Amino acid sequence: MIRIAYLTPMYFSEDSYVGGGERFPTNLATGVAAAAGPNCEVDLLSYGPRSSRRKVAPGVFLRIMTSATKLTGGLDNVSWEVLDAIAECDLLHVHQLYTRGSELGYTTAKLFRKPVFGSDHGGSSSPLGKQFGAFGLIDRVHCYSDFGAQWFTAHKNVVIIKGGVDGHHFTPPAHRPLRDRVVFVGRLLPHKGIDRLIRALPPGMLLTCCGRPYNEDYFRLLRELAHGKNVEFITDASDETIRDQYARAWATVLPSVYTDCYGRSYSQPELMGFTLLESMACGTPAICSRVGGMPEFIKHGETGYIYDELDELTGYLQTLASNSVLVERMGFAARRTIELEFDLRVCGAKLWSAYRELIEGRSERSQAA
Amino acid sequence: MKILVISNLYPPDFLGGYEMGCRQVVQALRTAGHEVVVLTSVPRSGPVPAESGTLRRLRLIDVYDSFSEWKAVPAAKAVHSQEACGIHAYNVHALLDVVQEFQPDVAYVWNVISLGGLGLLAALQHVGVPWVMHLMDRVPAILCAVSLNGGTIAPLAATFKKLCRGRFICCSQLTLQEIYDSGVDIFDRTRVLPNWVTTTPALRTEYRVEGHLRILFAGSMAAFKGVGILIEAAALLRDRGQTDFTVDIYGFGEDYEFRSLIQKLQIQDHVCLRGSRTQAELDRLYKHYDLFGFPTWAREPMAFAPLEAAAHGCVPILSSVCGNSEWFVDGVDCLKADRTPEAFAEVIERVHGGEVSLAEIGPRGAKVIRRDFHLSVLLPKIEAELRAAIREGGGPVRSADEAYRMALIAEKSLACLIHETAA
Repeated sequence: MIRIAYLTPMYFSEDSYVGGGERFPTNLATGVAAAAGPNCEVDLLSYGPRSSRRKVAPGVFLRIMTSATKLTGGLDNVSWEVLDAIAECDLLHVHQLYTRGSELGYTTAKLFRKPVFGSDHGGSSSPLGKQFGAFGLIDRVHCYSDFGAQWFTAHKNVVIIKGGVDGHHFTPPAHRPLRDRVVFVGRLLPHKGIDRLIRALPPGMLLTCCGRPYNEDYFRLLRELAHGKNVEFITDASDETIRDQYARAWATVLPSVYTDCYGRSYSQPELMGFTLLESMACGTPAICSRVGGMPEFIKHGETGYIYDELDELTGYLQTLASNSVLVERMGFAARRTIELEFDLRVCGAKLWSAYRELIEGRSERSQAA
Repeated sequence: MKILVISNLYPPDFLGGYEMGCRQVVQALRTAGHEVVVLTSVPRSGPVPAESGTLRRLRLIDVYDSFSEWKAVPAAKAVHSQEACGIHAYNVHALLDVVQEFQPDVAYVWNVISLGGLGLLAALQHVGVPWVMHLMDRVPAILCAVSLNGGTIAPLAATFKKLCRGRFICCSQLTLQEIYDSGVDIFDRTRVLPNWVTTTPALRTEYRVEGHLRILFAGSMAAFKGVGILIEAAALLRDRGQTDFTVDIYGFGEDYEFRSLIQKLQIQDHVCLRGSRTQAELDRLYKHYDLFGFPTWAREPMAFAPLEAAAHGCVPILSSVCGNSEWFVDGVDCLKADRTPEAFAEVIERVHGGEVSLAEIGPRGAKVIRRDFHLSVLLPKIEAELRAAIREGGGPVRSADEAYRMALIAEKSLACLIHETAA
């Protein structure tokens, strides 16, 4: 039995301190377990008020470790139980490289001489890893876009595996409702560029924005911009609601920006644009700005559109709203692309192969020594 | 063998038994032809002369300095404790430098509290240096408590056991058991070897010269050593009509508590606080005394002074619960008593009354010390442990850069956690 441990500061559950957003590691774990078969288990290690372990998918377990520090709900939780968890695993995959838990996680793994994978999901709560050369301790950096990989050019062992969406969870509906809108799914934050999407929205077209408002000023601005336009906000959307919104949409748009409406800059606004992949998995075309890793996942004109200027976005929206055949053709191609390239099972198989190479290489070296 | 000795303190910087023992072994190993380098901290109490083969490059996080610790705010104390017991990146770097320069066959680790001991051991293992730790205190338990006085952190102790590839020499079963009871199980990696003497005095035959019974104590002037018990025992003896005896107390540390006790019990005629003496001075004094009173506590691993006294034929009266007691037989080569003034007074009274023959026990004890507790006898066993560690090997060699990077990240990360938690 090979045991993989995923160390993640938060997990996708109502009990999570952060309350969601860590779906991606769970998806990867599910994909790896599916690819590896019964001889592998993946433990998602995260923090909570009480220790527990439960199965969340075939071969995937969520192990909550009692936090050893005051729980702030942020990224910096740690637990003494991580020592045991890492001692028991054959490989540690750290999700969110720049957090306190990750720092102690990969350091502990090195003490135990365990191979370490690391994924940067864009979050950061501690500069120590960068300051003191954490990458010297991480055997493989896993990136899910070429854009993401460019931040690790100094690291020799970057593994790029694109995608990771659950194509079984996000599927085209058996009976598709009428497509009558454009959808945005994501946190309502300035770098997401939702203000630009509202500005580009053709007159009369319905835009549904699904996401939690994390910035009160920005949410106020969005509501002001939406005044007189056909825009609705769903701030407490469940998975079911989101899937329904994808099903009803001509397109899902992710209009993220490098510089937001307040003039603030972002170097990594989108490493992948996960909701675009969810939309595509549901058979709905995706539209994105030419920002971050997003363009790598859309075949322009086949599975969606990539735009540079806002008037292009307006044009693409009008094209799709007026051409249902095109929407269905693009949606079908999008779904096919997900199945072949970006589904978690495809990614899981690639990741499992990379894990095995590292574990077996380590084992061979140990035997030689 | 090329042996790298690591110790938090090293004479002449500090004169406790642990440090003195370390120096004696270092000298003996050098005499036996081994190449020995000592890595220790910069002097704690003022400059000391440079000495060939001694590198004072480590930084001491002086958690033993109770005044400074008392003044420190809780978060600072926690950071000190972490750096003292857990990881101190500066010291890891210094150690790795010396390993690189000296290329030791084995590291012989002594007391590494106050140096970031866990980090040093981890660094040695990371770069593949086998190690042996000599225990004269519950050092692994304190390291795994990350505190001098706190309880062992169970997950840390469990991890210590899992990762530990070193060997241990421990001075008594008592100390080994105490470490185990704290949650750190090192039984299967430990050899119990007693502490020692380095001198071989002439055997004496004369006791109670002119009928006067001379008793001494030498050690820290601390309640846990039983100084108060000895003073109260003297008072009991006096109250029972014994007058022809004296108790001389030699030691370092605050003695006002015992001065008060002596005054309160009006025992000045029999008990005298004589201040601190060097080991060499004590060595010259022992032959003038009949008994070494040692009513120390149950946590005494194995003190050197009673052994040194016994080597001179000065019969130790040992507290029956201390580590020294497990090595000697009551009435054969030592005397033992429960750790109470009454029990000590009773044993002394029996000596005074002639029921116990010091002329038999004293020389027998001195012979036992020569036979089993002389460093020349123990050194081959220590060497055997060092060789065994070398044979076992230090495991796969990883880079020193990686070890230092790990230490840096862990030290800074833990400090941040402590501050964040305290905020």
